[in-house]
Amino acid sequence: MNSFFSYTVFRNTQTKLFKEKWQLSMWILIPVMMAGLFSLISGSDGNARPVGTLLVTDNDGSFLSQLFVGSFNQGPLAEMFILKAKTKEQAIKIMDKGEASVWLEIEKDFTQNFLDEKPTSIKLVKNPSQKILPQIAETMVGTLSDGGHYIQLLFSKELKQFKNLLTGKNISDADIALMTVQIKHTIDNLEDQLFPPQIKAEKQVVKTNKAPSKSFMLFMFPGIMFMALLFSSQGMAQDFWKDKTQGIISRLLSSPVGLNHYMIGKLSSSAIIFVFIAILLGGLGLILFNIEIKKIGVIILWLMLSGLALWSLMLFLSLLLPTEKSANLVTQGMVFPLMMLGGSFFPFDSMPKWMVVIGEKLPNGYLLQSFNSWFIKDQALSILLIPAITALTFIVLMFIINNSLFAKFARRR
Amino acid sequence: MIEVKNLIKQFAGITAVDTISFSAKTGEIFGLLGPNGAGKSTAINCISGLLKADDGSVEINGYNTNSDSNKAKSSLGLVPQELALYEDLSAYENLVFWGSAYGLSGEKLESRIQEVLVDVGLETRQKEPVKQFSGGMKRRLNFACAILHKPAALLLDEPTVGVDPQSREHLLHATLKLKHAGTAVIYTTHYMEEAERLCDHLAIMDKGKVIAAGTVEQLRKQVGERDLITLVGNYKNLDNKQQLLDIGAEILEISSEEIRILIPEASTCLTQVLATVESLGQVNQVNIQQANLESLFIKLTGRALRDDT
Ligand SMILES: Nc1ncnc2c1ncn2[C@@H]1O[C@H](COP(=O)(O)OP(=O)(O)OP(=O)(O)O)[C@@H](O)[C@H]1O
Ligand SMILES: [Mg+2]
Repeated sequence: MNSFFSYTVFRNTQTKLFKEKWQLSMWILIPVMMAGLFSLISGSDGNARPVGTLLVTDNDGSFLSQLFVGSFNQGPLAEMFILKAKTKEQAIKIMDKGEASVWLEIEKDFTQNFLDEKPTSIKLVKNPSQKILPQIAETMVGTLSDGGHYIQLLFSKELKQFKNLLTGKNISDADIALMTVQIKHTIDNLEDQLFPPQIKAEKQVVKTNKAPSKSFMLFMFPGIMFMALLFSSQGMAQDFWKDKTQGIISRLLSSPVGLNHYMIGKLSSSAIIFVFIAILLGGLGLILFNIEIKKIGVIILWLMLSGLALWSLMLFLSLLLPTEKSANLVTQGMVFPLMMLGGSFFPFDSMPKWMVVIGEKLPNGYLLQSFNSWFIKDQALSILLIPAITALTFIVLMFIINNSLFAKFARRR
Repeated sequence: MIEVKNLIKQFAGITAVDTISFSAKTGEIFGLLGPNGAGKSTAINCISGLLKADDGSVEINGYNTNSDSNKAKSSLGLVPQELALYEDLSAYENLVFWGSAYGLSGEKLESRIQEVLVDVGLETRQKEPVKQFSGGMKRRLNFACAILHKPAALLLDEPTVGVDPQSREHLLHATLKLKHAGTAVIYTTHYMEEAERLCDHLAIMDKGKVIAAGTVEQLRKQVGERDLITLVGNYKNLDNKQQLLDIGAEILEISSEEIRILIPEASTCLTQVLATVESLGQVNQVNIQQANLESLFIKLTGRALRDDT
C-alpha cells in the first residue's frame, strides 16, 4: 500500500519538474554555458587552451626519474598536460590510436648512468597531428636534459660525493663546507661554460590518422557535470518547501501513511533526475569529446550517487532552516563556494594548494576528484570503490537524519 | 464517532485550547462555532494529529489517537482550513495522491475518485491543473480529497470560507449526504446560518474555552423568544441607560457608537425603544433581528461573532 504512495510522490515530483521546463533546462544549460565561457577565457586567442596527454613509461623508477617526470606536473605545465603512467605496450597502443600528445620513455639505468656521467637517454614520441603541445613537451625535455648535463659537468666532484653519500660512505663536515664553496664557485663561472647536452632526447614521430580530441573542455567536463548536480540537488531539496507551503506535508500528518514513504518517493525522484542529467551530459560528452561509450554506465552511476549525496546535504540544511526563503538563500548561497572550491570552476590541478586542501574535503570536491582519477587520469575503476562506499554510507546516514528532522519540519508553522 | 476529552493546547504564552470536551456521534454533525482566534483550528489540528496536544485524549471510531494512531488516522478524514493541494497538478492527480495516502489504489481508487468528483461537481474539470480553479472549486477539491477513503469520522475546518454560493451549496449538500451515510462530522465555522442549518449539536468557543453547548434549540432558548436590536449612532449620555432596562430590554453591548439590546416583540415597542435611545444621543441606523445564536454569542462575550457583521 505504501509503495504505491511512494510511487505517487515520485510521479508527482517528476510531473511538476517536467512542467517547469525552464528550471530543469537551467540546471543543465548554465553549466554548459559556463564551460563555454571558461574555455573562451582560458584560451589565448579565443580558442580553448589545449590539454595534452603525456604518457610516461618510467623503466628506471628512481628518485631522479620521478623528479624529471614530476616537472611536468608543476606550475603552468600541470595545466597543459595530463600525466598518465603507462607500460610500454599500453603506451604504444595509445600512441597508435593517436590518443596522446607525447610519450616519454625513460631508460632503465637513467639515474645510474647520470651519476656515472655516462650518456643517458629519454625517448620522446610525438603525435604529429598536434603541434603546440608536443613542441612544449620537447622543449621541456630539452631543457631538463640540458640542465642535467650541466649538473653533470659542473658538479662532477660534488656528484661523486653525493654518490658516496648514497652508497653510505661517510662524509665529514669539512667535505660539505668544501662542496658548498665549490658549488658556489662553479655557479659563478656558469655562463662561460656551455657544453652540448649529454642526455640525448631521442625524438620519434608516429603516424596517426585520428585527430586527438582531448581539449580543455574535456578536462572541464567532469566539473561541469558536478555543477549541474549542485544546481539540481539544490532545486530538488527546495521542493520540500514548495510542498510544505502548499499545505501538503502538514496534511500528510493526518493520514496513516508514514512520512518516510514520502521521503522515499522524493529520493527516488531525485535519483532519476540525476540519471537523466547524466545521460544528457554524458551524451554531449560522447558527441563532443569522443568519450568511450563503455564509460557512460559508470558516469551515470557516479553522477547518481554524487547527486544523491549532495541532495542529502542540501535537504538537511533546508529542513533545519526556519523559512522557505532562508532555506533557499542558504542552499543557493552554498552552491557557488562549493563549485569554486570543489573543482567545478577551475580544475584542481590549476588551483592553489591551500584551495585544493579545502576543496578535496568538500563532498562535491571529494567525489569529483575521485571521479577524475578514473575518468581523466585513467586509473583503474577500483579507485572509485572507497569513494562509492563513502558516498553510499553518507546517503544512508543522511536519509535517517533527514527522516527524523522531517516530522518536526512538517509540524512547523 | 469522535470523542474529545479535556483537550489542552498551549503555544508560547497563550492557551489556544483550554480544557475542552465534546463528541460527535455516528451520523451527527457537531458544530464548533467561534470568532477568529477562538481556537477552532487548533482543536481540529490536535484531533487530526497535525499538532500534538499538551493534555487530554481523542478517540476516533473507538481508537485512541495516541495509542492506536494508525487505525485512528485511517478512520479519519480532514479538510484543513488552508488548502492542501498541488497547484501544478490536475484535480485528478491530487485525488490519486491523497487516495494513495490512505492506502487506496487501482480500480477501487479510480471508482472512488469518480464518485467524489460527482459529489463536489468537478467531474468535468478533473484533468485541469488546480491553479486554474476558482477559490470555490479549490475548496470543493480540498473537500473531495478528504472523503476518498470513506472515513467514519470527518473534520471540516471552515470548508466554506470565502466561496461562491454555488460551491457552498455543493459543500453543504455533500456534508449532509455524509451525515446521512453515518459519518460523524465535526464542522467549524463562524457562519451562524451554516451552523443552524447543519449542526445537530453545537459548542460555542471563545478564547480557547467552550462557553456554551447544546442543540441549536437549547442554545436558542438561552436567549429566549426575544429580538435583537442594534442601534448605531452617537451616544453621549450613557448614564441614562437605566431607562432602557426600565422598558424591559436586556443590554448586550453599549458604547458611544453602538447599542445592542434584547427585547421581547420588538415590532410593538420599537417607538418606545427609539424614544428612549434618543435620550442618550443621536440614532443613525436601526437593525432588528430575530434572536439567534449570534445574539447568544454577543450575550455571552459582549462581542460580535464576526468582525464584519
Ligand atoms: N502554531 C501556532 N503557534 C503559535 N500560536 C498559534 C499557532 N496556531 C494558532 N495559534 C494561536 O492560537 C489561537 C487560536 O488560533 P486558531 O487558528 O485555532 O483560531 P481559529 O478559531 O481557528 O480562528 P479562525 O476562525 O481565524 O480560523 C490564536 O491566537 C493563534 O494566534
Ligand atoms: Mg481556524
